[in-house]
Amino acid sequence: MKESILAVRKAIDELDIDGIGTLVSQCLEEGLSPEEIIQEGVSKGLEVVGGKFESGEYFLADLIMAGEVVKEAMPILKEKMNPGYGNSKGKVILATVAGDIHEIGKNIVGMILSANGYEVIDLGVDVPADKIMDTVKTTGARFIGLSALLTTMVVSVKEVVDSSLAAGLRDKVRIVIGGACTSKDLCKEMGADAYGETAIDALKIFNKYAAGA
Amino acid sequence: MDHHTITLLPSGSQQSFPSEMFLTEALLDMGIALKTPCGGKGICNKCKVIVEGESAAVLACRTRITRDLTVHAEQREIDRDIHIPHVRPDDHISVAVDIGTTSVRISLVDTSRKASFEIASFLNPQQRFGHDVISRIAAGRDPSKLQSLQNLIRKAINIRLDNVLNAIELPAGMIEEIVFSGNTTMLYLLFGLEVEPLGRYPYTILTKDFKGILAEEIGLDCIGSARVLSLPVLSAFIGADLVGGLTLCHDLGITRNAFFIDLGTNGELFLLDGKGDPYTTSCAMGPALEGMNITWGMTADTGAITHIYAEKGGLRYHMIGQGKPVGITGTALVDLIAILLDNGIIAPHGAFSHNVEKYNLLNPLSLNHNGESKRLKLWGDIRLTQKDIRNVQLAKAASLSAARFLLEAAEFDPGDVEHVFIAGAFGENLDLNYFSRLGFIPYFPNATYEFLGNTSLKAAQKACIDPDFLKRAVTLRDKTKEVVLSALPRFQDVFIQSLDFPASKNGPD
Repeated sequence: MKESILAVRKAIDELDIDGIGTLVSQCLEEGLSPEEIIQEGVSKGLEVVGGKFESGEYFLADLIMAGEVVKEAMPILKEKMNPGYGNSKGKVILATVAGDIHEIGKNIVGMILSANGYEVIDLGVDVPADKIMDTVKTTGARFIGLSALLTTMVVSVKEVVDSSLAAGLRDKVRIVIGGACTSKDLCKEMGADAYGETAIDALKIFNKYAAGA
Repeated sequence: MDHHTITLLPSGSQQSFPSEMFLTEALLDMGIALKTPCGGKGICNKCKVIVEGESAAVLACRTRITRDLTVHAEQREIDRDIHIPHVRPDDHISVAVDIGTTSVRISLVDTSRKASFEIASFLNPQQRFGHDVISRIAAGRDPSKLQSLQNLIRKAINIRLDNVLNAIELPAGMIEEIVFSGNTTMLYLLFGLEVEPLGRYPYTILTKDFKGILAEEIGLDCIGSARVLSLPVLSAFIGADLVGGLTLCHDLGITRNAFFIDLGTNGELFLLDGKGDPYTTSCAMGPALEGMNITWGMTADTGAITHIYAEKGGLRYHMIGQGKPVGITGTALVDLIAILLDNGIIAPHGAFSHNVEKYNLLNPLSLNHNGESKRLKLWGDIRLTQKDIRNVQLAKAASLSAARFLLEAAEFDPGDVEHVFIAGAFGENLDLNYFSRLGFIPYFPNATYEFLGNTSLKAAQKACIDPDFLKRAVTLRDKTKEVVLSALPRFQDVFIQSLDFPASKNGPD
C-alpha cells in the first residue's frame, strides 16, 4: 500500500480535518485513482473509526468529526472522478418516524452513511409513512432507515412497512430501524428487515445489503 | 405460555407464574420484597434464597422460573435500621412516598411533631420494563403490561408499608393521609392513567392534579381508608418532583436568581430569574448516577462503595457495612471519574488517556482489557469500563445542554445566579467539588452551591405536615414556563458539545 494512501487512512482515524485535503490531493498527484483513494483510504479509515467507537475509545462527537473529515475529502475526489463511476453504494432514505422529533441518532447515521459512499436522502423528523413511500417511488431508493426514540415509533414503523406492502414495494426495499425504543424483537414484530443498535451497526447492515445479501 | 407453581415456605402459600419470569418478581407478587440494590446484575448477592433441589442458595434476581419451585423465604428484613418513636393513640401519622424511575422511598411522617422517618428505600420494580420513562411508556401501550406496571409499583409500596406497620405495631387506621411525589409517568402508572400520550409528540396531558382517591383504590390495602394526595405535575416531563423542589426552595426563602437541578433518571431543572419568574425543562439523563447502567453500579446498600477519596499515591473508599465491597454507587462514581480526570487517567473527551498503559496508576488501580475495550480494575471484582464513563457523559451532556437552553430561554446570565441547588435521590451526600469537576451543569461564578438531597421526598413530607404546601405548589406550578428541548433545532449541536468533561477544575464548562 502506498504511503500517501495510508496517510489518508490515518488522517481519518485521527480526525485530522485540517490535513485531509492536502493528503487527498497528494494521492491524486501521485496518480492514484479517486476510486482507489476512497476504497483504500477513506473507507478503511472509517472502519478504524468504527472499531474505536465500538470499543469505546471514540464517542459520538468523534463519529461526527470523522464524517466532517470525509466531507472535506469528497469534493476533491469527486472532481477527478470518472462521471461514469457510480460512487454511490445506493440511495438511503432516512427519517425519524411520525410522532417523533428526535434526530441526533438519525443525523449521525446519515453522516456515517454518506461518508461511506451512500447517497443519503434525509427526510427529517416526524415523517409520515406515505411521504417515505413517495420518496421511494420518485428516487428509486432501495434502502430505508427509520429512527425513533418514542413509543409511537412502534405504530409508525408498522405504518411504513404496511404502506410499502400497499404500494407493492415491500420486496424492493430494505427497512432498517434504530433508536432508543427499538430492538431486535420489535423489528421482527413490525416486519422490518433489520435492527441496528449504533450508527456503525447501521452501516454494516446497509453494506451487507449493498453487497447483495 | 407454560406456567409453574411456586410454593413458599414456611408460609406454605402457592401461586402460579409464567415460565421464564425472574424469581424476584414472582416473590414480590407473593408478598416477599427481596433487596436488589444492584438491579439484577448479580453482583451484590442480596437476594439469595434457598430453593429446594439446588445445592447452594440462588440469586433470585438471576433465576428464571423454569419448573415448579419450593422456595424458603420470609419477609423479615426491613430496609435499614428504622427508628420510629413510640406512637401514642392521639398522634397523627401520614406517609410520604417518592416514586422515582429508578428508586422509591417511603417515609412515615409524624405530623404533630413535624418529624419524618424514612422506612423503606428500594428499586422501582418496574425496571424490568426498562430503565427510563420512555421504555415504561412504551411498555404501557400494551394493556397487559400497563396492568403489570401498575400492579408492580402498588404492590411494592403496599408490602413495605404493611411490613413496617406490623413491625412497629401501628394500627393501620392511624394513617390518615399518604402523599405522593414523583415524575409524571410514575404518578400516571400509580394512579392507573393512560401513559401513551406522555410519549407522543406534542405530549399533551389532561390530568395534572390528583385528588379524591382512597388508598384502597390504588391497591394500598394495608392503609385502605387513608386519603391519597399527590403534588401536582406540570406537563408530561415536568413532574411533581420538580414542582415539589420549586415549592421547597420558595419555602426556604429563595425566590429569585436561583438554579436548581434534580439529578434523576429523568433530570429536571428550574431557574428563578431576577424577577422571580420560574422556567423549567427536563432531560433524559439515564440511570447512571443511580448506578443502574454502570457495570458494577448499585444503590446505597450493604457492600456498596459510596465515596472515593484521593490520597498520596492512592485511593481510599468509604463503604456501607464491612467486608469486601461489591459495587459502587453514583456518588462514588462521580468521585472516581473526577479523580481520574484530575490525574490524567481519563482525558476530557472521556476516553482512557492514550498512553494510560504506561501510567503509574493510583493504588489499587490497574488497567486491563475486555476484548478491544479498556477497563480499570478497582477493589475486589469491581471494574470501571469505558462504557460506564460514556454513560456518565451522556447523562452530563443531557443536563448541561438542558441547563444551557434554560438559561438562554430565560435570557439569564449564569453570572447572575446566586444560589445553585443540587438535588437527587442518592442515599448519600454528593461531593459538590467532584460533582462540579464533571461539568454536569454550567459554571456559575457568583453562586453558592448546596446539595439538598431528595427534594421530591422532602416535598411530600412537607405536604403531610403543612396543608397549605400543596396550594403553594399549585400556584407556583401555574406560573412556571416550560422550555421544550426536543423542539429546538440547535439541541443536537449543543448536546454533542456538552459531552466532554471540563478540561480543568473550575473551567467554564
